[in-house]
Amino acid sequence: MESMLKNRPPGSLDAAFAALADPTRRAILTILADGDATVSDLAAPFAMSLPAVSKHLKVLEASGLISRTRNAQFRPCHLERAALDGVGDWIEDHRRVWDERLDKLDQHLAELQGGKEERDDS
Amino acid sequence: MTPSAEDAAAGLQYSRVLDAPPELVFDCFTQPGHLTHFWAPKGASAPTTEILVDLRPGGRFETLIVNDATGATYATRSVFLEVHAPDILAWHEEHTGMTVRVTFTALPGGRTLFSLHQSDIPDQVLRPENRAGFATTLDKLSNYLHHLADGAKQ
Repeated sequence: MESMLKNRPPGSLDAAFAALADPTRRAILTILADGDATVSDLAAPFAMSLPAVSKHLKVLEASGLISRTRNAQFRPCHLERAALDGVGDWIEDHRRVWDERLDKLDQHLAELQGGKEERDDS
Repeated sequence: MTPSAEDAAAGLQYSRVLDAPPELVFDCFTQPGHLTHFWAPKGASAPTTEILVDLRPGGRFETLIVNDATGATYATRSVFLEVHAPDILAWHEEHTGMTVRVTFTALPGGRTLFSLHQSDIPDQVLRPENRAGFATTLDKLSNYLHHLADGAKQ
């Protein structure tokens, strides 16, 4: 299983999911949703060292979720909304498919186990 | 976060508690007579005769999803990667390129924790031209980040 998750190319959706799996990186994205920010802007709310924040930014950049200006002195970070939208659309579509599938499975399991008392917590 | 934990969190996580023991849930996912009852999403069917389950690593897992209203069909073509009854089932979807791994964990009271992990997600969904007409909202962003956070805790 682990081997299948390796070799995520930069900008892939798997890379985006891996980047989003970390709470600090999600918080960074939320801040960037309000506008571009520099590494020091982003480090301030987290009580983290600049190198630590830089490491998170590198992961986000490799995932395609943010971009950074190459030539400006402070290299502000920019949220790539299109990439995030792609992740969001995909998640919503697939959650819906699995929600509907498991709703049906719930019903099927209830029918199979006819004797079992119905629960009212759904 | 350690690299291994990040790997585990890469991809979509989905879980749900089902009111049946793992043995029965596993049977539901591996027997055409059961799959036909729930495999197709709302408004569609998965005819038993079109379901193929060769339950072994390397075996085929194929279904046909039929849209009830239009009759349009969608074939799913997968290969099993892991088969460990009644706990683990994993397959690679040739029609999407994705890998799906499902675990069934016994819970007290004869219930099952169903956990799904979907990885190798196709990159084209990241491309803006594939999402015409979609508007971003921060609420939406916040919602799905929550879903991810839930998944990442496992």
